[in-house]
Amino acid sequence: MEKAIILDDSLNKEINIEKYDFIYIGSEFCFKKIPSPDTIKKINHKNIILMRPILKDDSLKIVKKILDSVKISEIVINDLGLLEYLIKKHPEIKINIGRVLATSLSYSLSFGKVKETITKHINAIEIDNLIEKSMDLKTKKLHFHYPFSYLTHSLICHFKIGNKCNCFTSYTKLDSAEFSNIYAKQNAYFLYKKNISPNPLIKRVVYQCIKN
Amino acid sequence: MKKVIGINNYKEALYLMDYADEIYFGLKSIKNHRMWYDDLNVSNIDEAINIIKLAKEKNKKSYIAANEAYSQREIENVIKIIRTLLSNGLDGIILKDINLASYFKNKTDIILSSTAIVFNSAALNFYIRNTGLNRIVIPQHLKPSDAIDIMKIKSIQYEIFYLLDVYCRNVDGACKFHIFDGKTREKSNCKYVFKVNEKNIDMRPPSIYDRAKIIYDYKKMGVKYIKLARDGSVDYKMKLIKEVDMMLSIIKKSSSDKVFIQAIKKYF
Repeated sequence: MEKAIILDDSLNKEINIEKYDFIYIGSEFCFKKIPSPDTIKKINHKNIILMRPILKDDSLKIVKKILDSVKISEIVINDLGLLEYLIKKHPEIKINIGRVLATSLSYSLSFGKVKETITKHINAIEIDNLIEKSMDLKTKKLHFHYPFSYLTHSLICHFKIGNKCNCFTSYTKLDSAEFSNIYAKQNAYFLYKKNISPNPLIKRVVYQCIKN
Repeated sequence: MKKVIGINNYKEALYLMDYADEIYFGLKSIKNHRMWYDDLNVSNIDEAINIIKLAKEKNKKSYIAANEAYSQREIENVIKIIRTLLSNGLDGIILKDINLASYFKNKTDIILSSTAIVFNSAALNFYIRNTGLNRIVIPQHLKPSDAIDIMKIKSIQYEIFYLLDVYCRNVDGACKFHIFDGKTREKSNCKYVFKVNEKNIDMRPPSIYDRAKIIYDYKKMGVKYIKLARDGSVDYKMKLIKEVDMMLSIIKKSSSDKVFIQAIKKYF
């Protein structure tokens, strides 16, 4: 089983990244969390994976520039506009479907036109405890994010004050009358669940530090 | 702008058809983006056919919302039902599933649902090539200033929701807040209130004036359709229809966005 860890903007200098086979950077949810090429170059690890969220045209252009200027081994995408670019311009980069896009495409990934136009280009699907239940794909590797499962996110960020970001930079427990295990980080909400699925297609565990 | 009105049963269709340019509905037997709501889907195929025929009599177009992703087991039944409805005069499908679209490509009108995650022009072109879509419902979170490149694509038409009524804080189509962990949760748009250190974090949408401005901008950018969602009673929908008519009239008369917002503030 491969081991991976998600680093945040500060690159979590306290984490010994040598213990992990893969390092995830960027965000699946917030388009403002785009690490610069210089930040990426500072990470001393051979397997860097860039996570990208849903992209608007302006952020898609920025991501394309980054991909053209630094070497990464894999990318997590949550946007089909970026898929086309990767297939044409960067066939060397392995493409993984992220949790937002996997939530949207869910069962359609395993057959028909979706399989022909999307799934066949994909290296793996990033999943968690919740997404796993809405997939019936039998032929692709799965990367299991743990212990926070994606619930939802907003592109109209309600954590902003004026034009300044003011979101939680670490997983923060939310008190609620309805739920006891909901957390927020950046512009997204998560369910905390400690189970690790026994699914044999899971080839990698992607750890999310509660402090990052 | 043409008004597209959500209909939940034949009785509603009788009341609302004259006020609509087009109508759309969901069907209980086809999974759609309102599947967790009570009473927001037409009960059965016969009732759907009656609604379609009424629309035809009144020279209005009718569409079905089949806007979820379907498994291989589910999709055969979805196709079968939609074929039956098309043979009875249905004008098209509101969808996000590329597999479903590929079956109906060039056979009927395809409207890409706002639940498809399409926020840039490259993603839209991907869907156009693979679905043959004629129209897209612009996602609620895509601001007009971010949609300039998308709307340079002139081969399709554009639709928005009446955002003063419907505006979800979270990304439609990639949200699990209604059903997760084996349980159906809130049967309406999210109104959860969370707290951190006694400070409330709620899911309020932007102000109604910000949302009105979005409608104003999209109208000026060439959006031709405005959708009133299926939610609410007939009386509530009639109130919304009047609001939309008033808003469109104010947009027409306003010489600038500032004039528009000042006028809106008198009425809303």
